[in-house]
Amino acid sequence: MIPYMYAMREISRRKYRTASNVAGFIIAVATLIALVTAARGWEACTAAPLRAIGADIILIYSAPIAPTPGTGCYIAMHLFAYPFNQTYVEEMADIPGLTRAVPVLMHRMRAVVFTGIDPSETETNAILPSNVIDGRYLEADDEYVALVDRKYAELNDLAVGGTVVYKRSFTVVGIVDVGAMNILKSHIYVNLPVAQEVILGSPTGLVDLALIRVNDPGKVDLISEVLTRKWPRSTAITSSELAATASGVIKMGEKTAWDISIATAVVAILFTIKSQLGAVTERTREIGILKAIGWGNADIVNQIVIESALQGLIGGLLGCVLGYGFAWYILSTIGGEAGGAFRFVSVDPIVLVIGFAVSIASGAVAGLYPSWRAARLLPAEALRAV
Amino acid sequence: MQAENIIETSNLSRIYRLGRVGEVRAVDGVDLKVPEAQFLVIIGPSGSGKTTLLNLLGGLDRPTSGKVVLDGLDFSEMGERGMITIRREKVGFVFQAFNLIPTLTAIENVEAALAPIGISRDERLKKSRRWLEGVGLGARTDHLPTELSAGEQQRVAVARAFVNEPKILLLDEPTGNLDTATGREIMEALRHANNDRGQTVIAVTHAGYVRPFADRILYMRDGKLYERDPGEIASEFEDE
Repeated sequence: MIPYMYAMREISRRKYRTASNVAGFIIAVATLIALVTAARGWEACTAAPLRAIGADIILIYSAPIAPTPGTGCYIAMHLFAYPFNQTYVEEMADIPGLTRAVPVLMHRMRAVVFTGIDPSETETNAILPSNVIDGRYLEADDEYVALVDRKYAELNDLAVGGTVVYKRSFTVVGIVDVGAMNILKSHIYVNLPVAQEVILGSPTGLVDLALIRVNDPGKVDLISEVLTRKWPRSTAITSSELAATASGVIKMGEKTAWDISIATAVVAILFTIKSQLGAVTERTREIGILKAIGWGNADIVNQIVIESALQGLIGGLLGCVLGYGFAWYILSTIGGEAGGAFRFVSVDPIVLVIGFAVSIASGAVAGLYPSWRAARLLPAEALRAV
Repeated sequence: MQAENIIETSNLSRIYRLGRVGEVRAVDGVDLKVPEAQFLVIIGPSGSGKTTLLNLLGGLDRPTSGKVVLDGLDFSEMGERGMITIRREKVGFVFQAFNLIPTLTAIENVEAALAPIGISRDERLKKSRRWLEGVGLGARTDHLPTELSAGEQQRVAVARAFVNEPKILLLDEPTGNLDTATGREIMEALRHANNDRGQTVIAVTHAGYVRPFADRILYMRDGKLYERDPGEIASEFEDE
């Protein structure tokens, strides 16, 4: 197919013009991939701490969350929470759309975090059975036994069967590893009534966190609003609130990323159409030659559209690589202690297909008008072009 | 027995309207009959309308008035598609400026003329190579136009014009950018083709040395065609 061969020659032998056209497609596709992937990566990153404890919302009675700046998705959350009555958590269970409300009590003393949990909750909790790497999980009738974080155990030479002290002695029954993403990462975990007794002096029925799971993730914001209206002094922490702690381009949501990408793509495509129009005008004489040797209007249009679409394909390929590179770079600049949010860059085939399709289709569109205009010329007119 | 006319024009005119300048009658009421296999040379000074006449004969341009009939096909009755077929199958062009595609190699330039015909790539390459060998460029097939001398480029253009084996070859100053020796070589090659294949050749030129190759010479001045030199044209174009 000679239009294809001719297009390949034009692309490979007119390097500057090709580079100029391809640059437009690269900008369009790289912007789309980078912004959408970074926005998604950040959303995934900020959802991870809540996902790690199986919750959609954390409800506290305190001032709003104040994460350490620059810590990114690893929210070093210092919950200056006021204790509230555990019965509130039981009342929350009656709110429509809410599938689980789990009470937690946390306490910090000399850099050691001590947490009380209800071990009957095995899907949404500060620590889950799947986190146990040695020994066993807590049981409902356990009294002065504890789970200990792996690193804390290593630092303090603790093992299953050993004793850990936090205001009083606890027998270590399990070692847990929760990973960096767990927002409620603690050093020692015990049963909630025991924690209430140790921290507050008696099992008073006070807690300072409610971990909430909803049945429809799309209704998280709505349920947060219901909760904070019912308990006006409370603060509902959601993944979108955690996401908002970022700064710069990363702060945008996926929808904004798409909007900016589309606007950039339109500008880049207009630039490419203009560039292609200039390129085809420069080649008017060549088009006259082709018409003089028997090429039809459709052959001319085919050749230029194929050439332009191929440039779109090249731009699309490079744009994808560059876009993911940018997304990786943007996310790697945040993420703090967790080692960077770049781990949340995921290659979405749909975004890739859209990027490619936009690039190739806009290449074809960019070539269509100039080629149609050139093909309409009489060969003699085209040959007169300087 | 008289050969049939492969091309006929009657009262053929091409007028350009150029704003304040008014109109320019580039071709003015030309009546021309060219028998099959004739080697016709049209001599005239620059701006006499030779190229415009050639463009009209080859279907590259549309006349303002008058008629062109080529191989029995009346251009005035044909649409764009019909004109494309004529350019593709009936006519071969050689231009003064060679008019090769700069990004294609010699063989690809020749192959380009076969592209719309719908034959296989192998066959296209075979035919193109044969014609390039025929004009002495068998060893230069993969060179870009910028890597060829002016004479070699014109040979590529000749091979491209011949490769479809058209009935008529239209040559617009085919030796215009060549030195005399190379120009003569090109004309000899064209004359051989005319003798061997019976292709009709119409060449417009202002190079006097082309005249000996012709079966017939016509003269052109101010858009009009003359069987005899209307005066001073021939003397202006003695062998350079």
